[in-house]
Amino acid sequence: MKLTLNVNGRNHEIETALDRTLADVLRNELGLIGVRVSCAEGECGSCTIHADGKAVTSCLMLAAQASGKKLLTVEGLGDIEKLHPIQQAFIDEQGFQCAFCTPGFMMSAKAFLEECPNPTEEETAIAMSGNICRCGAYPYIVKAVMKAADQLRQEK
Amino acid sequence: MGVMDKKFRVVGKGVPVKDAKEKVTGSMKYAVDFTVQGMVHGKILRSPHPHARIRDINTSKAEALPGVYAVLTHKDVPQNDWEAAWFNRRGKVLDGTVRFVGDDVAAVAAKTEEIAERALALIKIDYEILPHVFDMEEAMKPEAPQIRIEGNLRDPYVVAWGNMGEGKDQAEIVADCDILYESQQYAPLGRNACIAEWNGGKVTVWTSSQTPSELRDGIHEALDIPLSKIRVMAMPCGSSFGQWWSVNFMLITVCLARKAGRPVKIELDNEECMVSVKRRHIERTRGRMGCTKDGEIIFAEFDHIIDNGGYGFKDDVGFFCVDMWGKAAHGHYAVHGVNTNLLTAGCMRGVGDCTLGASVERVADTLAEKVGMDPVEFRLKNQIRAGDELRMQHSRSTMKQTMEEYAASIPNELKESWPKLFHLSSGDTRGLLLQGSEKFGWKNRFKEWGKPHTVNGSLRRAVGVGTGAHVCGVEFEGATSAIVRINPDGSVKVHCSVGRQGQGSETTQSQVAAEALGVPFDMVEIETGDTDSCPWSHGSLASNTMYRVGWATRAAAMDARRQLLEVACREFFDSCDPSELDIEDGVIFRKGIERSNVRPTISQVLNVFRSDTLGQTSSITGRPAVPMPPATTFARHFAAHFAEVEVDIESGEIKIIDYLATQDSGTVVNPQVLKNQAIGGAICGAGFAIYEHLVFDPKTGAIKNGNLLDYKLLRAADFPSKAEVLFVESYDPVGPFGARGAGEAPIAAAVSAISQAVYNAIGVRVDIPMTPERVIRALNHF
Amino acid sequence: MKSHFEVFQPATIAQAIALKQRHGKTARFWAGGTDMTLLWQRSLIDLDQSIDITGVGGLDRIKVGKQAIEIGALVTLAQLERAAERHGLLKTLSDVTKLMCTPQTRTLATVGGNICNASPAADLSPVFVALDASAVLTGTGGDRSLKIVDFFTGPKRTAIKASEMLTGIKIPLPSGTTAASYRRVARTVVDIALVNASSSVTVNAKGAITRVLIGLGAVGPVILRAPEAEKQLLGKSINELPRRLLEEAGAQAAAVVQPISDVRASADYRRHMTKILVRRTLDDCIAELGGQTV
Repeated sequence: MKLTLNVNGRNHEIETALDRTLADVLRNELGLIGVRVSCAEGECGSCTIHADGKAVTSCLMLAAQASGKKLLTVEGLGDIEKLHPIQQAFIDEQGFQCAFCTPGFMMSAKAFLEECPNPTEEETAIAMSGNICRCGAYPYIVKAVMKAADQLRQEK
Repeated sequence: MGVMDKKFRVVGKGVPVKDAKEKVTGSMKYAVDFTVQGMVHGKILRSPHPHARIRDINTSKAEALPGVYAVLTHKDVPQNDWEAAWFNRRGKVLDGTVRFVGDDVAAVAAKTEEIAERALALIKIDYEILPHVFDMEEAMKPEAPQIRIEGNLRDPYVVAWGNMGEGKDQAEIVADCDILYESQQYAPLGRNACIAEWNGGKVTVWTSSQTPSELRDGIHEALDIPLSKIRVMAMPCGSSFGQWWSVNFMLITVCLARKAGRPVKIELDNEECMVSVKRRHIERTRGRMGCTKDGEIIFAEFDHIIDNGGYGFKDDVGFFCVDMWGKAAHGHYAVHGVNTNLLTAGCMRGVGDCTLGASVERVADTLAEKVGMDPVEFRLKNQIRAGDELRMQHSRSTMKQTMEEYAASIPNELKESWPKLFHLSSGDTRGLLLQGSEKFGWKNRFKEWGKPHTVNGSLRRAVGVGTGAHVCGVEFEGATSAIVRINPDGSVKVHCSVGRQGQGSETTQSQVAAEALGVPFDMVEIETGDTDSCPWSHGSLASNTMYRVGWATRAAAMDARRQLLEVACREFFDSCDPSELDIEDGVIFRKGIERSNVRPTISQVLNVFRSDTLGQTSSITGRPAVPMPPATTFARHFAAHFAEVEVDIESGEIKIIDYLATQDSGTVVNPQVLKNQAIGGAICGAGFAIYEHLVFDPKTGAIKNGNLLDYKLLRAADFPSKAEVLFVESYDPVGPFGARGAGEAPIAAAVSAISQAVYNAIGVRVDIPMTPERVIRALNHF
Repeated sequence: MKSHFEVFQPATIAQAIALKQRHGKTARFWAGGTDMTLLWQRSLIDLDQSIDITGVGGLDRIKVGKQAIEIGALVTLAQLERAAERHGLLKTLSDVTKLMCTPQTRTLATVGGNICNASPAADLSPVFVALDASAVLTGTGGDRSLKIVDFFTGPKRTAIKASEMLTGIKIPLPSGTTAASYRRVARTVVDIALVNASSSVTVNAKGAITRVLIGLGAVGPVILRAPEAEKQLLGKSINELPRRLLEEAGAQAAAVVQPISDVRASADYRRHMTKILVRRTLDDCIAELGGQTV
């Protein structure tokens, strides 16, 4: 079946079965490898993207359910030449090691900071608990999000 | 050399890791993201039985399914044993016997994963069920079902010194333990995939691996083809901790691709990663230590069993607690490796340190309590100091002899700079304990053994300290090497086969090369995965990377520098002695002469070189010219961790409230990288201490929690964000610019610190994992 | 191996029910889909048709009335999480949602889906039981209302009929003041409850307890009530309430549970924790109502 997905500001027409997960279609039809899939059961949060501005686990969502929604993946967050403040903060604080989880964390962080632009460290740690970092960079992830929050507030 | 005397320019700087931008933009390609033209997809059939022999296997229906390219069974596979690094696996790729539920049985290559899965269901197998054994102590008995042709039991690995009888007589106070450790799972984030492509009798393999050289060796052993026909391209790993060395599914991919005549990709799903690859051993320590009334440990006697699962072949685990607590005059440690019909066990980060090491720490704590000493004081009194003898080397007399014979064969002039073998070359826990307890406010926070410092309703708060030590790489499997190439434009390429598992080695190795050569960090690039260009290295394991590979990288860079300066002397500096020259920021100059117009760049020197009569190539290639002294005989890295916990004595829930990780890895090459290793180790150790354990079905041995829903990993809010790291930098005489290994001592220190803190909070010892239920049971609440 | 299925996207409840009737057992209502996707991927359900009801209008609202709070079946956990300001009991429910799955799954997962999944360890279910809530079931012949405690008939089983769809949850608001509390034991901050409990306490203007309801999760095939424990406190004043009574209520609740041992916890631990959690949730309610235990 034909499906139109709006991803990172662009419409894509895809011929696909409707019973595929959104993560699968984004990775394998659109080549968006920044949508990482690890557990595929909504636990690890690596596949987190935005649908209409809200963070969602794309491994638990059918592609069909994403039709008509504005999707944002890490590929649309910033690019190598102009990183998003969240990306820069993750580099500055080194909020990662292997970084498989990083895109998911950053997308969670973006949704969180839009709702809660001036968080405490504790609120940030709770908000970042929807994602797993097996390398254990959590304290630096929290610092990165706090730093990005500062930066984003200054930009406003 | 000059370089050692001046302040470092690149080493010690917290530069962002080289692949930082790839990482934050999501453009980094792991093996799961990799494809090659024309590839097909492989799937592996897994055993439903814990132990069985295949009487008959019928693949005709599977082969007939449209879209299927090949079905691989044990009949197609050369019957050669291959061995993963450090005896993590030994066996054939497939041999017609299955040894645990989830074991590899056969494989299918097909146009899509879905067709491959359907084909797997069409393979008909007649199994002869064999008797099985899951309990490692049952498996040790002679009448137990034998899982391997070599038998279940490995020879014990023994470390012994002094006279145990005397030690026991002299000890005034004795404490003992009997602790069973459940199995921790690597629980990788990021899965793994392997892609193999054959071309003209040569195979190229792309996979996420920490040990590209070892994987190439494994393929060579299994398939009996020359090493020159095997190219491994190790790609970045998701979290690994020892899981992604060389794994049988990679060998299956290679065999399947050969049979299919097409490139094949096998991607493991999350459950396969957790139930079919490997895990930490189940371990049991029984032992005792004795001390004098004033707290001097006299003897240590420990017996430790590890289950290797189906294919592990280890007879030892990290023994470095033996060294750390080795001041005792009398010691006897024995480790027994035994096979069971459970998932293969292998080296996971801090192997042995967080189990045997944690047992030794617990017994030491018990002694300290009995003599009324503070745990920090007790460690200061009884732990090894730099310069002391290392006990572990007494383990196998043959090994010590071999090492001594080897050392004797090395010409004296090469050994002049060697530290004293079998003695700790640098670093210990003293600085960590003193500076760490000061920073943590230990004296005010530790009240008394087994007593919380704060009680609030059912909540008890207390602090704990734990220490860990680990080796800095081991030489028994081969000499590590590296190549440093200076290009005609003055840029530098380092080749060392350490893979990319996220711990930042591509960055820290580049920093070492840049420092040694006097070039800006940005001029150095690195290849860590291609075995066609990288010389052999053990890989990123056993905390090897900075110490041994870093040594090789520095030596290779110094060799390249020497060659470069020789040309520079001749062409630019009136044939002065190369020792009169130095390089900074890629510019060569004569030392001591402030103002000189003669300041050629590396590129200028190399372009002279090009037009020179010396050769056609304008690049220089450096390699280590001398053997590295045997690191196992003198190098260790250390960690001491301080934790505060809060325990709810009604529910058994444990919260980690505050944390300080201190680390002595010698010179800190990159603080950003090292802090993550220290805290990452702490969090992985904390997870093992309070939740992480695999649950095996008592009837089948199958893993019941092979998913992240019921295999619990800590999350951001489960560990204090304010956790801090403190470095003590004891300069190492051998490591590059004084650096040593890093990643494994921290996990061990964490397990012991948290265990002790929980004891201090509730007054009873809880075996790990200290789940809420185990805490309540320990408190006898039901 | 997971099957392939068709996707239907009805616009009305009537269309959704008609599709369900036409296709029968292999057709499943699909809301947030977070549980369904897992069940399908693990081949734990027969699935040929997904009836995606997210396009059905009117089911994604929370209404706070004088007599009752109504929560549409398609209200997401994220919506419920953000409704705390609207009523004291919604504050309790909001706090519960914060413990559920992860923030990025809460944006998808719905209240209706969570209830229909009928997990005995679900976080919202014991609270709904403790609030005397009812499931609103819409069929071809109209709506019927069924107490949540009766809605669950077994693990993953409900009393919903083949021709019905869950359209909402209705929480009655009794006279007097009601406080509710939920507690659970989990391993890490994101987890399924090893054991949980919820209590609600209603008092009249004089501070006398007029209603107590207790819902117990992960200790039986369905969410259990604890009638003896509930009776314990009836008529008592929340001022200077003897602590002993709360402890006894906990012990009585622990006496009715039928826990199993599984990979997450043993039956013994679950029974022990029921006692503790019931006491703690009652304590929370008394405190919230301004009472005191002595």
